[in-house]
Order: sequence, then C-alpha cells, then structure tokens
Amino acid sequence: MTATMLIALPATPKADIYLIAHPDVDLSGGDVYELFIGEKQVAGSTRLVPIDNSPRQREFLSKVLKLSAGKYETLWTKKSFREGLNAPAIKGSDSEVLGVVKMTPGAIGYVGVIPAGVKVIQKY
Amino acid sequence: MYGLSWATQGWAQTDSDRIAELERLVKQLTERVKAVDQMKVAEPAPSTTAAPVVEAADAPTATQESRIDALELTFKQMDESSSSNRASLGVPLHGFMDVGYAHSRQTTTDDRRGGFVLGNLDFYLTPEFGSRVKSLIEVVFEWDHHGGLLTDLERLQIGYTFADTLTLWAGRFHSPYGYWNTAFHHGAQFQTAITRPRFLEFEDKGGILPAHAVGLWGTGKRAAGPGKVVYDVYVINGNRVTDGELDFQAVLDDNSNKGLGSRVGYAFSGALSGLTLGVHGVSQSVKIYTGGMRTGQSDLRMLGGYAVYDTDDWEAIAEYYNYHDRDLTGSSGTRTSWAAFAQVGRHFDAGFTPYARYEKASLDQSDPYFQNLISGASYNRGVIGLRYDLDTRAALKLEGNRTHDARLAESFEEVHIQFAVRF
Repeated sequence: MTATMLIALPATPKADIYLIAHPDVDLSGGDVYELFIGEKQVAGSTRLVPIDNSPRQREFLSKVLKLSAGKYETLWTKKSFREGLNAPAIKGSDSEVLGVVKMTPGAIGYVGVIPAGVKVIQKY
Repeated sequence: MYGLSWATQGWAQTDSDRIAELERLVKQLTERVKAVDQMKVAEPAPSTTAAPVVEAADAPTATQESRIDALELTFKQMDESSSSNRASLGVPLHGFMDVGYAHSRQTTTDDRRGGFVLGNLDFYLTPEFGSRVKSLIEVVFEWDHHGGLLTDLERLQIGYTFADTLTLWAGRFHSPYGYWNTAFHHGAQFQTAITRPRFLEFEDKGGILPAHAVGLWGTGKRAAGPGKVVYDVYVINGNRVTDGELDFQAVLDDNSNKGLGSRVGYAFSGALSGLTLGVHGVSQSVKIYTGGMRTGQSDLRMLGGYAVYDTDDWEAIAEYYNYHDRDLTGSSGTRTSWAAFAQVGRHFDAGFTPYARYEKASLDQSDPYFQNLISGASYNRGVIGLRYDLDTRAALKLEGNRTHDARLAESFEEVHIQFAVRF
C-alpha cells in the first residue's frame, strides 16, 4: 500500500515505460512478449527472471503486451497448470523492481522512471 | 506511511539531506524487519523497504556514493531477508473444483440415472528449486460412482530446464498426445465443455489410451519460420489391461517393453496465430489379464494428428487416432481401428460460449486390446452445450449429448450441468 502511494505521486498517466534488465541479460525488445508470457525462459546460458511492477502492470500489459489483466492472469494459470511454470514475481514499486533487477542475474522488469545502474532494453 | 512521508517531504531537500533521511528510514525499517523475523510473523515484509534507494543513485560526491553503496547493501540484505520470509511461507497453492447435476437415459442396473454430483477437487503447486529445477505436484479428490472418496496423486514430476528447446521431466505426468489431455485434464474450469470425448476419458472411466504416464518426458519449442515447432518425446512404463480396465502401471512395469511416444506440432503466428497443427504416436506392448491370469498380449501402435485453433473469439479442436494393433498371443493378426472428435466453440463478449462436438470410435472387436477393454466399444456421440463465464475464474455450463454404443446396441441421451471454478 505505501509503496503504491510512494510511486504514484510523481507518476503521470500514460508515462513512459522502461524495460530494464540485469547487466548479464542479452535480450532484445522483440523478446519481451515471449518472456512475459513464459514462452522464453532462457537466453544464452542465463535463466530469465521476469518481474512485474504492480503500479505499472496494467499500463505495461495494454501498451506493451496488448493483453488485458484478466487475459494475462488466465494465460499464466494455464502455463502453470500445463507446464509447471510460475508467474512473474510482482513487486510493489519502481524502486523495488529496480533493486531486484540490479541484484538478480537474469532479471528483467519495467519501471516508469529513468533508471540508473541497469541495462535499459527498450523504452515504450 | 514511511514511504508517503518520505515522498511528500523529500522534494525540496538537498541530496545530502535526503540521503540522511533515507538512512534513518532504512535503519528503522531494518529494525522492523528484524522484529518481524523474531516474532515469526507469517506475513512477508512490506515491499516499501526498497523505495528510497533508487532516488539516491545519482549522488555527486564520493562520500555520497559510499553512503549509497551502504544503502544498497542494506537494501540487498533486507530484500534477502524478505525473500527468506516469503520462502518460509511455502509455495502458492492453485486448484480447481466443480459441482453439478447429471441425468442419463442409459440403461443401468441400479436405477441411479440422475441427481446432483460432485466433480473434482484438484490442488496443484509448482515449487522451484534454484533457477533450473522445477516441479509439479497435483492431487485430486473425487467420488466414484458408488460414493467412495478417491484420492489420486495425479502428477508428481520433477524437471530440469536446459534451454527453451529442452525441459526434461521425470515422474508421473499427463500423457502428451493430442491437445485435450494435456491442455485440460482435471482443469474443468479451463475446459469449454463439461465432458471429455468418451474415448479420451481417464483410464478408470472408459479411456482407450493412458491419460497418465510414469517415466521420462522431454519437451521444448524452437522458433522456425513464422511460428514455432513444439515437441514432446517420452518413454514410460507400458500399460496393461486388468479385468477390462486400462492400467498405466504407476509403479513398476510388467514387461521390459517400455512405452514410447511423441508429439510434434507447429504453432503458427501472425495472421494464423492460435493455430497449431501436429502429429502424435504411441507404441507399446500391452499384456491382458483377467481374474489374475494373463489371457493375451497385444502390440499397440497408434499414429494420428491434431489441430487446434484457439483465439479470443474461437476455439476449435480436432484429434484423430489410428491404431494398427498386432495380436501377439492369438491368431487375429494386425487389426486397424480409429477414433476421432472435432469440437468448435464461439466466445461472445457477453460471456457466452455455445459449442458443439462430434466424436466417433470405430474399434475392431477382434483386436484383443479393444475386445478386453470394457470401454473398447465402437460408438458415436453428438454433443451440444452452452458455457457462461461469470468471471475469468468461474463458469456455468449446460450440456447435452446423444450416444450410440455399438456393443450395447443402445442409444441414449444425457444432460449435464456444471459449476466450475479455479483458484
């Protein structure tokens, strides 16, 4: 709750979204859809770790993945049941996503502020 | 409240002041996390602990940078602590359940033709062990026709992901043939229809193929042209027929001839996104037992194909199975049989999905495999139904069918109502 309020203050509607990754991730923006629906799990020798950002998830889904929240949830439930995959972990703020991406090999997330210390894969 | 306070007061401060404030907050939060750990509270630590670090990243001086490094280290420790707390909570539990009503006009010996029914209560979880080792555990509770509660360890599989092109599983899994068996299985809420095609029923309910398997299973996908090649290969305990029922032999095998199977498909993208076409096959030697005595053995060879078109508006599924079975103990030689179904459903925005299915099995009764299976009769069935999604997780369905069973020389109708949810 507090994390949502914290980030919501400086954010503006329809803000830019930055797809960010740990420095060891070799991935292009074209892979983002496959990554966030569980179709792409590995890049090179790195196991990928997608991270969702709760305050920006709805915008990310509609703007980048072209999916509704309901469709995304259903899709991951099927993935879990059929392929034994777990849906991306959900973090509560830009800062939390940034912190995890910086420290987790293979991690990829999205934030609404220009980040430092991580690789920016694409801006939407 | 810490986050809100920081956010509303911090804009006019200098970087040094803000960092000092952040350090104070991190210290407070660290103390809180420690206190929570000591109390063994069964809730994860609030996610706000990380927030201040990001804004401090651009501090201009070496002193500030060192303080930021210290803050990041603190954050990392707190995140690890928080993750540890989450891990100690266990893994998420998912599942399905359904209840309903059924009425059949099929001749029965006990006059129990209709009434309220309990479907399945299905729990599954997917714990991971490190970055590449994963598992899938599924337990199902259901009532049999006589009112007994059955418990089934439906899936127990451990896998290792080498790459997107290969995940190797070991254990008990859903047999990968066609589309229906692995896509829906006990997930009634996923399944548009109430009933499975009769010949694809579970082993103890009339199936003519093993819905479950115990062994090794390799699966993966690889981009090819505009779509993807998807594949499965598996080696499993061979099946046997015991007193008319297919037994997939969950523990050990009664012969050295393991079952071999594969499924290869192509998933289109672009204008044909949602369409998958594929072939599948199973080969195994099946011993037949009646009253504890071995009465026959058959080499089962199945080869077939499947097609799926699954989009926001349409769901169409078709599967075909062709058998060339060889009698290893009798004199009936090689016999050919086949079974197939096609189902089409149309999703409307209001939540309604009308659907229809036709299925047919033409099974050679001189083939010992089908002759000895209680459910090995030729039949045809037409199904129509209407599904209404009350929510993305809850569905109400009404379905009727008419079946002709060649062995019984009988035609009958059935009506089913189902209320299915997932969680």
